[in-house]
Amino acid sequence: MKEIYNALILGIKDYFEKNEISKAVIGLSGGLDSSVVAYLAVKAIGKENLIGILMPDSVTSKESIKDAKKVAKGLGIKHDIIPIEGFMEVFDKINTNVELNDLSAIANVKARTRMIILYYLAQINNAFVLGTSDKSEIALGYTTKYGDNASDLLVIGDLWKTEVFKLGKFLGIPSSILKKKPSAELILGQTAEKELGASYHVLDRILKLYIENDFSSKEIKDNGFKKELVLNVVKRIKSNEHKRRAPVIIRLSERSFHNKDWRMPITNRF
Amino acid sequence: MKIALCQINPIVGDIAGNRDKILNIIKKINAELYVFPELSITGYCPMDLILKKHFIEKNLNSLNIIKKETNKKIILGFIDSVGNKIFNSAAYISGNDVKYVYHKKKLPNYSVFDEKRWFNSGEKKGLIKINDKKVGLSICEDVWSGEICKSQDADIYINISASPYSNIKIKKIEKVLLQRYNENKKPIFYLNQVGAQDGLVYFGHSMFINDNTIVKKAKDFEEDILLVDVK
Repeated sequence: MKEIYNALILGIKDYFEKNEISKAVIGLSGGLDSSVVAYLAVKAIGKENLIGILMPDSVTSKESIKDAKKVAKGLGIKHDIIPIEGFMEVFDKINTNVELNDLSAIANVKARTRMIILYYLAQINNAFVLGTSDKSEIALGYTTKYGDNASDLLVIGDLWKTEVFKLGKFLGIPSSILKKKPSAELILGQTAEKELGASYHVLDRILKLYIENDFSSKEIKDNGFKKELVLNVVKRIKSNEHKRRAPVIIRLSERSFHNKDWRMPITNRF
Repeated sequence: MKIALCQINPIVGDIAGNRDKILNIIKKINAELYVFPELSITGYCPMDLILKKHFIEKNLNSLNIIKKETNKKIILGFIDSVGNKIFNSAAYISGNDVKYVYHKKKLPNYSVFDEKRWFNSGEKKGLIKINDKKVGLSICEDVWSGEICKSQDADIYINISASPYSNIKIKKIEKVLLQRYNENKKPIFYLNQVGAQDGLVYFGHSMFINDNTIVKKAKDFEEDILLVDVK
């Protein structure tokens, strides 16, 4: 774990230094992922350079707010609470048709509202926004496009949820955070594992076989997993490919910005 | 011969900055031969910047400045251009002159690597003479299989790399290099770049291998200089 920790610290540190940005803004939910990223960021860029933002709404639990504050205070970072309910009223006015009331559309608006606040604060502080999605969430598309998946650096994007948990233990994040069930807290009573149909312990094993070993659904099932769950996971991975990409460009010239055509480094001093 | 494996953290595209970093180390550290990583003048990997002629020219200018500024012996990574072919290269500089240029043979084009998009594969042997020693030069991927070292039949082997981290990579490269030692029974100097570039983390871990063992190791994930005296 020490080796991965060191790789992550250098990965963060150089991304900031080489792109000449010293500050970062992070949304703190009181959950595992954002807490782990905050701990890593403080080690890499210093506590004076990290700003933690809590953005609760009506379904945010008291425990989440308490845990997010615990992380901010424990790390000694500047933090602020910005409730998002006021922002949501605008969307209630746009859609007055009760029949069109879609819980997940509202949930996504919440995630995007938080993104807008983080990017506003990042711009006025000349800071990067730190992304907190992990590899399991990215694989399953369990993120909101241009919401929580919008950021400047996805620090733990190559760690499965079960690995993030181990890293959290290694970093010594509060036990109340390690013990709780993962939840996006966009809808009341929501837990990730209920929504995804299995525990992350099981999901990560299926995801690894599909993504890292290129197994077929049948081969995964033959490794002792329920067929229905495997098919569901594979369907999620495929249908969410677009969330892992920048928008597709239709190529017309010999030199386009299509991602196969233009491969420039981001850190580029030339 | 005192060899300095200079495990530096270059910045992609900062050709003047990387050049000055190289020159400062040569001024500061006392050694007979200084070794710098793969593409250390441009940083790894400059990707489509390599398609720009003026980028290649600036990298060649920096190589010329280095050779003029110091009369020390240096091996470093740069981009060479011959006719209309571009090569991922290592220069051997001595007495204010570029004495030899090696072109990387094995161009990785899998996983996160895309080198065939920009580079041609080299054909030169990579064997140079420093003092009385036959030195076998290679660049990164060249050392992962045995045939290049074997064909060089050298007294010592030097590999300059820019190898990015994954959770199995450090053990893997140690194993590969020990295998190369086993095949050739000659000392191996492995120098890897350190630092992160767009999410790829170059881990350092430069090594001196002799007598079937890793005799000396540079730090992981930090700049470091490994000084080795080889008889």
